[in-house]
Amino acid sequence: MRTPTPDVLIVGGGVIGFAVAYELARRKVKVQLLDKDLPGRATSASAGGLWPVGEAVGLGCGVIYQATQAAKRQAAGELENAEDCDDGILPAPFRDLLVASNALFPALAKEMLDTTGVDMEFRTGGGLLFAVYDEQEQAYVERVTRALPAGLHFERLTPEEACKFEPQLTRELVGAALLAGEHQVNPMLTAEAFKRAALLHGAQFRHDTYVTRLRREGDRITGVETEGGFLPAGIVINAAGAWSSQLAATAGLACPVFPVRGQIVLTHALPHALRACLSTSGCYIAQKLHGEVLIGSTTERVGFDVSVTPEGIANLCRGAVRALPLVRFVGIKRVWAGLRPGTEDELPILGPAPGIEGYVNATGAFRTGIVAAPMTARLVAQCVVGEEPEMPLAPFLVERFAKRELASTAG
Amino acid sequence: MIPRRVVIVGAGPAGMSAALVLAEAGLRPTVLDENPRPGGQIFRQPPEGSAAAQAPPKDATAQHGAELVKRFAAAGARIELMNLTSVWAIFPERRLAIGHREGWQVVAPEQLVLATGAYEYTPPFPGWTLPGVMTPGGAQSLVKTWSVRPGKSAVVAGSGPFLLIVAAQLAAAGVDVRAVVELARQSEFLRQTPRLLSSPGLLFEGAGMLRKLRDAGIPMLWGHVVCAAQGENGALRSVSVAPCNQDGEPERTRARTIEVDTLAIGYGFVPRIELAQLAGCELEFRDDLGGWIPKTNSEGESSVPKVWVVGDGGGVSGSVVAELEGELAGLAIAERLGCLDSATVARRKHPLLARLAKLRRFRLALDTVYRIRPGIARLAAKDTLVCRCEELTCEEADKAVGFGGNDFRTLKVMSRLGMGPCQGRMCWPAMMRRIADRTGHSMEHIGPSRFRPPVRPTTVGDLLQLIPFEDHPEPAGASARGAR
Amino acid sequence: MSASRSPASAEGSRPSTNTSRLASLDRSRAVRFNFDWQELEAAPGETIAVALLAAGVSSLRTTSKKGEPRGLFCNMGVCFDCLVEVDGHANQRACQTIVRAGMQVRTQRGHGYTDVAPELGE
Repeated sequence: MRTPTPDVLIVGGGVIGFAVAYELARRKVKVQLLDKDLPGRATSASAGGLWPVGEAVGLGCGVIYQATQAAKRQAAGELENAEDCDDGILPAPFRDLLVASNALFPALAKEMLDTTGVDMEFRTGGGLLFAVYDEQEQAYVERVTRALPAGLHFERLTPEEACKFEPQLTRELVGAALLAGEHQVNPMLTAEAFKRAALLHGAQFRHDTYVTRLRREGDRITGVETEGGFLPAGIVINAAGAWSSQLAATAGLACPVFPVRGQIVLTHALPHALRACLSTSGCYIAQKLHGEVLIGSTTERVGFDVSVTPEGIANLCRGAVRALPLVRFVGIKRVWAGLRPGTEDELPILGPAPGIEGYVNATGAFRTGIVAAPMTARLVAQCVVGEEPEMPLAPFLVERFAKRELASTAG
Repeated sequence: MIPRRVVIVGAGPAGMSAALVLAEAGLRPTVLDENPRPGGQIFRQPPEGSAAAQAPPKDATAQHGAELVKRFAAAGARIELMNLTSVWAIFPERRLAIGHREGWQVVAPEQLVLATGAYEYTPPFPGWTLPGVMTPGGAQSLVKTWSVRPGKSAVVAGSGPFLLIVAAQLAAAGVDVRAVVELARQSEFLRQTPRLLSSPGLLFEGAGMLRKLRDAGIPMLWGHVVCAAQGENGALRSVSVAPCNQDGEPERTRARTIEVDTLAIGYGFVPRIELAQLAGCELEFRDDLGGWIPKTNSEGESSVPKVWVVGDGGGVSGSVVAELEGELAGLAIAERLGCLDSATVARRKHPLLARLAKLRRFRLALDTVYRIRPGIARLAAKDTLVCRCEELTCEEADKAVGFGGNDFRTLKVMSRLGMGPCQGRMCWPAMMRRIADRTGHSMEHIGPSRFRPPVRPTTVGDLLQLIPFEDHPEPAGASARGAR
Repeated sequence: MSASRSPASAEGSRPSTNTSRLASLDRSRAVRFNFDWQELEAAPGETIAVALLAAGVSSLRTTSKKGEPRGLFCNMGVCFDCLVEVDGHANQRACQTIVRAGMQVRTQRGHGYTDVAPELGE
């Protein structure tokens, strides 16, 4: 008996790919996911922090990235002062997406546990605490406070209040910001849960399958070529993370995603010593369910190199000891690195591409893959089956890059 | 970053031999070892001034080891020895992250020799985590190196000629050895005698050990396994011993109990491949050599150019083979670096290769007799812990295997097996065989465990500062911070 | 093959005196250290694991999940079962740590660091 042609092929087995597979399978779409376990998958290098507001305003692990970007722009003469750089505060539609996606977690975690038996280890904690080290950072926090609408958990704290809230925090800070609605999950188990749920709804998975190219016939993508031959499909979804640009290029399509390496340090388990997740300009720190403390992360553009480096690790360790002095004497269990799928404007790339049928993007999640997965999957699935997307997709379409280029060359 | 021409990791027989050849050829190799003094496991030196240190060597192997250690020490400053130094990561291009009492540093060798040795294989069985249950090597080192008895009575169990040595040494130290429980079958041993005669010295040594045990009244139970251990007040009290069939499966109805407070149990050795794996060496599965080993050519060079693997860390063959391999690699490297001419090297290699070939014939016979049988991967009961670090039961692990956890990485995420500090060293050799047993997948399909740095204990504070160092002065005994 | 030998001695537990040493401890060279608030002695150059074994201690830690006792297993630093707290630092391998005068060694309970953040509870 011939296997029927799947309606949808998803390329990429990370949290986004699995979540999309689940949402499609739930809607009775015949979906098959293809994945090759290449080193550097972003899902396995995530801290599992669910920081919608934090990431939307550049106070999550984006802090370090922002500092680098601002410094670069200042050096290039684009900025008078690094303080003038507001780029860390991302557009409201993205913040809305993250906040809405974050709100789905409690019910989703329960549903996944009940149906698949997999515990995403979603836990609410004290939130996300950003420790401010100097006046420059304090000024940025003030800008953020002004930019955020009311109703979001965002509170300024004095050093005394911060240390009272988080007793193990360093005393050397000039202030803090507490985002009380930001929690944590286990990223690998979250992906595993989506995968199992998708399987239960009839999705198929082919692991160890490397997609060499998209097959394009005119203005239509008709399937993919793999090492084992051609696989036809009605629609191909690009969920290939850091490899998305390579994949799209095989059909002459633009999908400007680039790898951003993040090195991570994981300690041995400790008794619970943190109420919240910590974020600083030196690192972020999240204590996971089993007590291990995760310290991250670098943001480096080094292509697809997933090695850890002495400098990277030393910087993270210094940042950690500065923020949380007790961590100095704790053993390190593991250091490793992953490749985030980065985009220039730090927003994901979702939805169809102009001028081509049978192709949908679900990539470019950069630092927010885990928290954005539930809503991203819904939006992509809605787009594929022709339902009205429950949130606007326009800010995330790939055509925005071409339009911007046009605008900049014209203007 | 500190450049060096040749760095050798491990000061056991293989590492010391390689270093001596290179030193003699005019190179100054750097030898890194995490112990306070050279010798590795088999030639571990007792503390200075102790009774054991002053006692003369008790057998031919120990005598040889003492001489090798002496020759190594006599090389003096021609070898840059850094003890109490561990390699916790390997970065691209063979750069080593080393941890030392003064801090950490990155060493960049032109040629890297990994001589990291092996550790013992003990598959899980009920009661195996009780205090009093240890490896045969662990028990041996207590009496041989540390002059302490592990307990008052002992059963030595598992498989391999090593058990005989351990039993004899425990008995000589005054431990009441109640039995040696050997998985292999005496009939198979006798059948291999013609092959074993290829190295008559070793064969007679083995026969001598059996005679010693018989004279001491220690029962030798061929074709038997320890299938359970029982405790009381949190310590070992007794073990259950049963005869087993060809596959190593115990006939539990014929099990009987032996009261002991010490069980030294091990079924051979597993090569330590963390660093080879981190260096990117291709691995292959060789059941006769201890499991997953780095692929090497006849000189010992791995699939990664300029990375050499010698001794038990490249495939378990014992200390005699380890020394020969160390010498061979040393010669090859010296030739590569232009310090010895090809003719000299060829001449010196010839007898080494001949000896190795002869020893391999002997080892092949032994490996047939002492092969790992499937029954011992099935000794665990439902509530037996298969991952000692994370306290994962057999039932929990089997469930994850059933859900598709057929390789290390997947199983780790699903069940936390291998997530503890030992990084799968203790659990994977048994678990991978269990997975093969249950799923029918080949070992190649299942794959090895995956080590992630740091592969030696390192704290966050250890990594704050890269400490510059040039030539390291000769250490004057154990440091203030002790072993790391 | 012959059956097991003469019955075990009447006492099932270990004595608390130093009878497992092959050579008696030279008190003049002994290194004094503290284990669970008890003063003990080690020979110079001895590891914590050996010194404790010689003092009749077989359990070095209790596990996090099940609270079960663990002692020496491999005695060569690869199994990470022999973890104790040394001078306040958890996860030290007793078989790899040489005893120094005045060392404070404690049975490790679970992950150790039990004095970290008591105000947060568990």
